[in-house]
Amino acid sequence: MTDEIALDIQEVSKAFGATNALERVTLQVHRGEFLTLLGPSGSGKTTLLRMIVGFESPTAGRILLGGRDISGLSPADRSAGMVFQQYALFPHMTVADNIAYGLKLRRWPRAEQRERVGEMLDLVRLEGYEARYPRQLSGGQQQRVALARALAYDPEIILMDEPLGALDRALRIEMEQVIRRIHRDLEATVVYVTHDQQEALALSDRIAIMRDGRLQCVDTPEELYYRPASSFVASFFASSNLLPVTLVERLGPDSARVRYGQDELSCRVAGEIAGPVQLAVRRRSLRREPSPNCLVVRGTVAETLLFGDEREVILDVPDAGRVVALIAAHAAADLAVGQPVELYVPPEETVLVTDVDAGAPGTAGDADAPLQPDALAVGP
Amino acid sequence: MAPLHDRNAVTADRNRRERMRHLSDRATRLGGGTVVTIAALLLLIPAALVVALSFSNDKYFNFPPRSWGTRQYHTLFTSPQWGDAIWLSVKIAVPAVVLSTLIAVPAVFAINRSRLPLRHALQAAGVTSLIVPLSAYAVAMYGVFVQLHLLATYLGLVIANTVLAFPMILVVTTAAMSRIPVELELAAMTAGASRLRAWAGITLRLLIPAILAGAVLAFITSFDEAVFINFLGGPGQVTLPKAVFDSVRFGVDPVITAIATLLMLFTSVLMLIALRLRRTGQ
Amino acid sequence: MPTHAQTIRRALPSLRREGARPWSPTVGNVKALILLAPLVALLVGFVFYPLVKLAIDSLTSDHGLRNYSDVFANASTRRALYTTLIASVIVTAITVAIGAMLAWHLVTVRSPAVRAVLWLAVLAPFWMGTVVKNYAIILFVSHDGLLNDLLAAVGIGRQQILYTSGAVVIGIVYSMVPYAVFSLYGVFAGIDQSLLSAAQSMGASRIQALRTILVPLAMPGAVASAALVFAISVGFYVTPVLLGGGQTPFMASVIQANILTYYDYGFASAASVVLLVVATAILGIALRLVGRERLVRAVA
Ligand SMILES: Nc1ncnc2c1ncn2[C@@H]1O[C@H](COP(=O)(O)OP(=O)(O)O)[C@@H](O)[C@H]1O
Ligand SMILES: [Mg+2]
Repeated sequence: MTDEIALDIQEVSKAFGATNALERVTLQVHRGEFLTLLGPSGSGKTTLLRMIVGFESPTAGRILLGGRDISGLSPADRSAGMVFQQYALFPHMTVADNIAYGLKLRRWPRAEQRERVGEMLDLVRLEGYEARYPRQLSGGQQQRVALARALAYDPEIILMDEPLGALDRALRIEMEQVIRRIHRDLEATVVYVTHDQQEALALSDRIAIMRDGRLQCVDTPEELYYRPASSFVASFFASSNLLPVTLVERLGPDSARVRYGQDELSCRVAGEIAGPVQLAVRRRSLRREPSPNCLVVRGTVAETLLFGDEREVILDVPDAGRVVALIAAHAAADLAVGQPVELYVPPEETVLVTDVDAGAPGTAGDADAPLQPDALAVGP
Repeated sequence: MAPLHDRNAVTADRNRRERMRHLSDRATRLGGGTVVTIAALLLLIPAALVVALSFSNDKYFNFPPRSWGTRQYHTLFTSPQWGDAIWLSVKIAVPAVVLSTLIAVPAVFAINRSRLPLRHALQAAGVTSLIVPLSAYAVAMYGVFVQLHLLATYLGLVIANTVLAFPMILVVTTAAMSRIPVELELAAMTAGASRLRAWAGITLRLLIPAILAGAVLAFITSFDEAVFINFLGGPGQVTLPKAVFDSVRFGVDPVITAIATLLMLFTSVLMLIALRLRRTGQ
Repeated sequence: MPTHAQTIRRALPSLRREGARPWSPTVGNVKALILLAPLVALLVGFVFYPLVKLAIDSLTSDHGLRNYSDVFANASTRRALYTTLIASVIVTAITVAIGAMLAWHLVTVRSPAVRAVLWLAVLAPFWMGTVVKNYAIILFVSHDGLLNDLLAAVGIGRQQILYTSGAVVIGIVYSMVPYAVFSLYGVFAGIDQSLLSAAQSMGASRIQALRTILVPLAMPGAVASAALVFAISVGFYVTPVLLGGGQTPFMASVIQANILTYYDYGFASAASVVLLVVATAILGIALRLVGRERLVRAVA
């Protein structure tokens, strides 16, 4: 990754009739960076990607690729490579012809075309498949051809729209490795769309989280996972529990004291705090052994599910609704449905968040959180 | 828990209803099967009759024939009048199909790849000529052909047949286009193709089997056209359907059975080709 | 291993100016109109213009408005109109009933041999072509044809069928059944068959399952199909002329006699408009009932 900005999205909005698919999205992607657009279905990821590549035109805003405004350019002139969820291989062409398609249009000499196709097939590990037709390949192989086709003419940017969405789990993991290796080897700039946070974690340099057509935040996977800036990021990205707490005082820019039930504790703050506050607690932070100054979560076991090494324990917690914990299987073996239980959370693993983007509290992800009117009054 | 005798009564009642239902189901299946069998036979018999009678060796029409042979086919191939009629039919159908293709295919692209208002209404309007009462439509065309001096002309017949034939290509090509993912075009354009090139090299290329299938159906439509020709053709323009029509109208010439059989063979082969083409296009 | 340093980035042959008009993924309206021009020209020139001209001519040419009073005053024309409409209603009922049963069997039948025979039966009239179909019916129903042989054999005795409106109905049904099967096949194939099994598993008899599940689901498609069969039947020309003969009154025969024998274009155009109005009314009702989408699908 370099500091040079490859893709510059400035205040881009898109309306389809009455629905605002995108609202004032601003985002920079660096050359060589792997950036993932992550968000629930319908959040506008595909729309943004299609505007970058030229299949939709923005209602407002500008998109710069390599420093030039591309709004007047046809997709052909944008120097982008696109990989689609449903592969979109040309069914009437062989694998080699598919990969060479962009090269032919660029009038590469035949020998160079052939050489480049060979290189690309090496890259995606499909040596010897030149003469096959797409219908003779498995889904994973087709997607690798699609990848090779998009890479062959060395576009300035590679765009992928849920490329692994049509593949089964094992193939997805294998393809993630292929994509990671290619990104590393070619130093390509990639904008990748997915709704799967595991995939985003595994692949990305940075992740842009989208919700309802708006960009929520852009950060590295570590930051987003360990220091989520909003309740949406915490619950959507790390599947964190959100506990209703009261802000007691701000201890500084990145920490605060809060009260949960009778207990008071210090926690981290990563984003902006405004309105009702919640404590984000990751599922693996809930333990059975207490630690110094820990947060105590009391509830009754509603359900337990064995996930192999870990057991998912779902608690009914008064005030907080359902709380999900992932506990080592041996440590959770004694938990039975209906049994009251206490779980302990180390304070340094909690993050104070608010629902930054949603207009009214109690919408979307935090339907279970009760109103905390007094939290509004407390300032740092 | 219900007393024992009650339970027995309930069980007996249920068993009886089960039996009734089984009987009713069997009657339904049997009844349906019988009606369908009779319907299928009634559809097949006239066709089979024509084929069978084409191998009658009688000079005049007899049923059942007194002798069997290939006399009708001999008569057919040695009389020039039928050859002329077939030739005129082909001479009308071929340009009508070409015109139909040139009209329908660009229209399908415009309808599916533009935001033009009313484009879907236009597509629906494209099949008008298939659903208006044909004899009334023929009178309407008669009025226009008189005005444009197209009555009893070759050009007029080509136009009239085009009007009836192009919806075939429109319909078949539209259906095929809806099955080609637009992403293919988009992929081509990102790879560097102009829109025209993406259309021609990808979508149009993939539509070819469907267009050919539509063209075959359009050809059959035109080759078989028997209504407009009566109103618009005048006495001079005798296509094959017109010749058969006149012959049947003024008596049952047994040669017709031979023509009919060959026509059936010809049409069925063309239709199977069209079907195969539509399949490969998918 | 290729690295992007090895690749010479080549400029595309056509690079458009920056800051030009925003590029749109859909083709512009002007280009779309150019592509549609041939279709529009044909539709306007030879579909809409003729129909509009017909309507105007029927009111203005020859005897003007009297064209219509002639049509309705003339007893034999009235009878022809009546016969045409009644025959078309009967044709529609029979065609849709037979077509639905055949289509349903084609969708559900398991044996490939039976399915092949059924398809052959449906396609046979189609393959014969317009005129030959009617010729085949002539052979079938003629005085000493196969049908009369059968009637004689079962003791009913030979009937005069050819050159009656009965023969015309048989002929039109024979021509229309394949069309009805094609459109209803699409309707039935789109219905999830497991719904019927589900109904039967809950205790419905086969006929109840068909009546309560299949019929309501298939109804819009069947209405569309019936409307089309009716509209097309009203305009049949070849069958009334060949199977009805000179004596049986059908509108098609009246129209063609007026235009080709008496050269009374005014009368013929008025009679045609009457047919068009009837067909359009029926199609319009179907359009209101089931929507354009289904109606268009029933055609194709
Ligand atoms: N062509 C379109 N016409 C109308 N609405 C659209 C269109 N494309 C997308 N939308 C709407 O825009 C929103 C964002 O869609 P999309 O970008 O596909 O989301 P995602 O890819 O994140 O699932 C959705 O509400 C969707 O319904
Ligand atoms: Mg999407």
